[in-house]
Amino acid sequence: MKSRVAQSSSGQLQTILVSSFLAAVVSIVLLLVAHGLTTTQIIAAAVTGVVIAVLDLFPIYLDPTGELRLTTVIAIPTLVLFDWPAALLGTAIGTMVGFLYRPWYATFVQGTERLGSLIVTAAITTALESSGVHSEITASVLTGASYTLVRTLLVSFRMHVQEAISWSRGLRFLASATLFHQAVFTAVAAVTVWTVNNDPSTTSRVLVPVLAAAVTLQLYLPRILRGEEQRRVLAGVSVLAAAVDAKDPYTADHSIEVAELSRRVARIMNLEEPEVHRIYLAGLLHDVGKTVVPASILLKSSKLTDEEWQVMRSHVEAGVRIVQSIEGLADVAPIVAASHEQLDGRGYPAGLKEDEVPLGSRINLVIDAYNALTTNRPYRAALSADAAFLELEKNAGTQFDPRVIDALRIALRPRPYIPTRSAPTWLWLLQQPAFALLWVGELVSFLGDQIFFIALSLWIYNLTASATLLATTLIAATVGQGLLGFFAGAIVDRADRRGVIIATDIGRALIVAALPFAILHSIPAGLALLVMLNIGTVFFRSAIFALMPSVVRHEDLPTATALFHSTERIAEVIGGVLGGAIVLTLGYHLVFYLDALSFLMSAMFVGLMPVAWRAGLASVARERITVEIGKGLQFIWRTPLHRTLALLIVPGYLTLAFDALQTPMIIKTAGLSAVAFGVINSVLGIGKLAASIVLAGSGKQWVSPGFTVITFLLTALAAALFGANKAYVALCLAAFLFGFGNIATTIANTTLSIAYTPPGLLGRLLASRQVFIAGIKVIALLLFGTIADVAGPPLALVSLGLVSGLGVAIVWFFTGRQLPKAAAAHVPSGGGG
Amino acid sequence: MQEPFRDFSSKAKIALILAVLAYLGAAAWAAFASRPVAIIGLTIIFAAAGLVRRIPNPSGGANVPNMGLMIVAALLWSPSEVLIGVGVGSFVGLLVFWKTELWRASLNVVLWAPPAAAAATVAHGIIARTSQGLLPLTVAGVLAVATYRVLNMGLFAAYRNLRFRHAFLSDWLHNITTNWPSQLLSAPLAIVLAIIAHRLATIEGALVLTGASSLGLPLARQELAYYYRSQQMLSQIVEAVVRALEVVDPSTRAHGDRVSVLAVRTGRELGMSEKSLQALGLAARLCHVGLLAEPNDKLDWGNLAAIGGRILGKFPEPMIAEFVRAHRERWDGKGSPQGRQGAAIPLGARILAAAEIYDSALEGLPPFDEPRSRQLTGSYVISLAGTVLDPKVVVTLLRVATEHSRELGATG
Repeated sequence: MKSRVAQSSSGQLQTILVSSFLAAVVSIVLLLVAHGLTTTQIIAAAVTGVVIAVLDLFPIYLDPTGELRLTTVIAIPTLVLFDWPAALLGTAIGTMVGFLYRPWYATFVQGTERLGSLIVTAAITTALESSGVHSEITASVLTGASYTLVRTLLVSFRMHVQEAISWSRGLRFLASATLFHQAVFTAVAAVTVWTVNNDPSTTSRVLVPVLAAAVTLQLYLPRILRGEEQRRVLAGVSVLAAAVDAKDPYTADHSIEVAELSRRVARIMNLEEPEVHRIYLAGLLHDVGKTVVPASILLKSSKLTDEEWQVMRSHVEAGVRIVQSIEGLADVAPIVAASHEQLDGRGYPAGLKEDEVPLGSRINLVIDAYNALTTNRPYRAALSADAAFLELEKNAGTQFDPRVIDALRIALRPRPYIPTRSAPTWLWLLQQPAFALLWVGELVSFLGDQIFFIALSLWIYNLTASATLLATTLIAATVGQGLLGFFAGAIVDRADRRGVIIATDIGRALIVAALPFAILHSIPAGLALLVMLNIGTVFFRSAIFALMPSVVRHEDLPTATALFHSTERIAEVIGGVLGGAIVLTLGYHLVFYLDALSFLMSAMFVGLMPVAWRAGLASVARERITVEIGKGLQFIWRTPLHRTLALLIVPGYLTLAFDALQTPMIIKTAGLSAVAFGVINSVLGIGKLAASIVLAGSGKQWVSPGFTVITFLLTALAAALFGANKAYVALCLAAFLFGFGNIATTIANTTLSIAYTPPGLLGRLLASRQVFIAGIKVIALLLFGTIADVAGPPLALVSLGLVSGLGVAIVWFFTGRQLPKAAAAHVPSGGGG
Repeated sequence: MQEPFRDFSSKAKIALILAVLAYLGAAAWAAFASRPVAIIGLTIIFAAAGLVRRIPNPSGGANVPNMGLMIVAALLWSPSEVLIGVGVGSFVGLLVFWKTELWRASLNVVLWAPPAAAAATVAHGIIARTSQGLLPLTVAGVLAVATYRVLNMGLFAAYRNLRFRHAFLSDWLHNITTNWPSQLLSAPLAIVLAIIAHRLATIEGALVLTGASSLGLPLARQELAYYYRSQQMLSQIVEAVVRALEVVDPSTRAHGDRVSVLAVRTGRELGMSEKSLQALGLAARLCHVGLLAEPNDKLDWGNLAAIGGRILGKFPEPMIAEFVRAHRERWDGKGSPQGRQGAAIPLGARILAAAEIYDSALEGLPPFDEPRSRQLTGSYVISLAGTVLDPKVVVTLLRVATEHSRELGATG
């Protein structure tokens, strides 16, 4: 239990670290926007970002360890040609892609180092410019040099802090391994800048750096492939080590631990990197000969007989034979051969003395002993680190080299921050192929939807110039939910969910592609198609969320749901902007086809998910579909948790009438401009986004029935506040609170519904929820819309807040009190289906 | 490895001869539209490209590192010149420097020259229709790569279909889609050279540039010589593990080798990619690696597979571990270690399971007491189809096994 606590607290630390990096990136973006990016700079930044993301996929592996990426090739020309905002933005975007497929910590460190060096370099070049360096080629050479210098200093600083490697050694290693390549990159950058100077059109300014980066990559590709091959071989060597370790249950990972600790110690002892690498390999292979020792001897807990000792000792020679049989490991063999020799000459097999024992073997011996002492063995329990050191020191000078023991002590000294390799939950989720594909599929189709609705409204309005018809259209686009929601749920529970998603995606793609023709011929036919489209959406959303438990672990559900919501909010903003822009430049037809394409892409992504067909479905005999719908509703009513949630929804989601009330409140009552309307609406959006990000980052422990009550009350309070005053700032604040509360409620409700429902019933439960909410929204719109017309928007909003809040409190008072005991524990099983 | 032409099936023979004749006809026709200097220069350059060291292909055979050079030629020279230069030059280069068989050199002429000429046609079509500049050249370069790759792989797949009866379409698609980033990377240098050549606008200048890239591109490629060593090391490491296994159970080596052959052939019939087949072959050789940890006397097969998966998990290719870990799962979901069912078990693991049981039954290895005849083994494996084994895999495996034993009988 203790370790779990420790894990979660370090998990939070990581969340904070990654979030702060992301926050830094976001603030850079905001700063740059304030700085006034030109269109060319934005394009350059985007292109640089893409190129950096691609270049990051191809690291050059340095001999014998470490890696270097080609990013300098593009970052420096961007810095010189497009100024620092484009370079910083592009680098930040490109680097962040790494979070998706690499350990978060590596990307984090790399991003910080890159951005840090780039900022310092940008400052230096700006200073140079003002002091009169006018030639851009000189500027790019100087930029390259200062970038390399700053980065080298930063990296060696990190190595010093993290691994206690001395500054001078870190600098020497980095200089010898990377200077040549950085010089090549700088030269390429200079040529690029020179070429652009000769032909400074926008196309060549954007394209030439990309081409230069591609040529560099082409010429480096063989080296990159060779490095990959070497890494494969290294991995092969660890298979050998793992095969040895598997023989003895006490020594799982023993070889790898010895190897890694040996490497750190060797670096602290200031050895050269090739030698360090040999010692690492020798550490991996020091026991490889034990594959020939029978397990009966290896695992014996009593004292070995002389003959058995003979066999045991023979493992060293066997190991050397194995190592020598592998070409390319020949120079490791001497270290392995002497890995049981002692300084006083009493080791085996050769009985070497003092300086005859290679330093690498001495290091391996000490680490091997330390690792053995601090792990459990058949004949004794593990010792503490201090006790192990006492033991080592007792034999210092006779068996062990005292210098190695000193270096080991430095290596084991606590470091300021030693990273654990686990990522924050949301990042971890995105790195899981099944979840990532589901997420991307949903995001793509959602984005397509957003663009589509903007285009649809504009088009219908353009065609008919009638606001009534526009409203009818929008209602047609939402009414399908109530119509077939229950049915959709039952279908999702009996057919394969992934199949349902793919089928509705393809169906929706066809409908959307047919819409332009239908609307041109007859508007009612278009509306009918819209209703069908929306029915498809109900199937889609129920199936997506019903599939979630088959993809995500139970405890990660809140994070997963919140992640879906936060990306939807971002897509809402982006989709709105994109939709308008696309309609303006490309025309209406293309938008519809774009949307159809987004559905097909979503179908493709979902189809690629590595999930078994019929995942999460109960294999129970089928009944009539109406009976199954009834069973779903019965389940909701019989389960205390779901009954409470369903009852809470009724007063709680009355607040959805807010959508209709805010416009008259802002424009009519408060008398604010259309600009202010836009601002308040985006503040509302930011509130939603904030809620989903907060819950995605740390919502795991919070989501509970009580939490939903609090968020319902918060939303109601915000609605009342919104009606209670006319001040611009207060309206903004209330809008933020409303957005925050609204999305927090939705996430909490969805999570609870998914988490405490047997998978076979999930589709029906989620679909019924959507139907309830749609129904309540219609009622609330009619009711409070009338009040607003009669008594004015402020009164309507205040009464809305009061009624909703009171209702929630009453429902909770009567149903919620006995719940906390029952809710979390009660996960009903079976329940029909 | 010399393979005489007379071993070809008659269909393959006729197809190859027809293709070569077609090439010769086209080349003769193209000769009228070409500049003699260009033809001679390109022929010499492509013949000299034969001096470059071959790169071993991970899935067997060797790659010639001349794709980048082809794209340079496609952007710099006219289609007819490319057709003759690439064809004749490579033919001479292969015969003189690589000492290949006559048929192989002719085959490569057919595989390389027409796609390169087509790529040149596409590239020149784009350049001629648009204004001079960077963007059209870039588009032309990328499309040239795509054209070359699609046609070249199509012809190659047709060849393998005729000779080895590989499935044409899946072979083609697999080859086009594998490794496409590095294929696209053949374009950039060609584009840059094309720009310079257009500036120079002399035929000698273009020849020098092409020649320089024929040296420069493979020079960087020489790094790939390390590839040899690394590949060798990897196989030696696998060998070391197999040797350690042999100490525990002497029958594992031969068993693993036989299962490996059977499984790979079955997998190929079922349309697995070459990369997965390579992983499958290794997984078959190493599928009993768990024996290192768990000696024979307390045998628990599911656990053994799990341990094996853990050990092999160190390999950078995750499929190997995945196949070994899941090869004791059952088709009906009652297997171990995870109880996965049906298609949820990776195809490689299903094939491995079938091949492993087949060979164990045939040779009388544990858990079987004594060897059985081929016929008995076949009916035994069929009886497991649908419960333990995937029926589709069983059908293919038995066909492959019959063919294989016939071939073995034929060679001795």
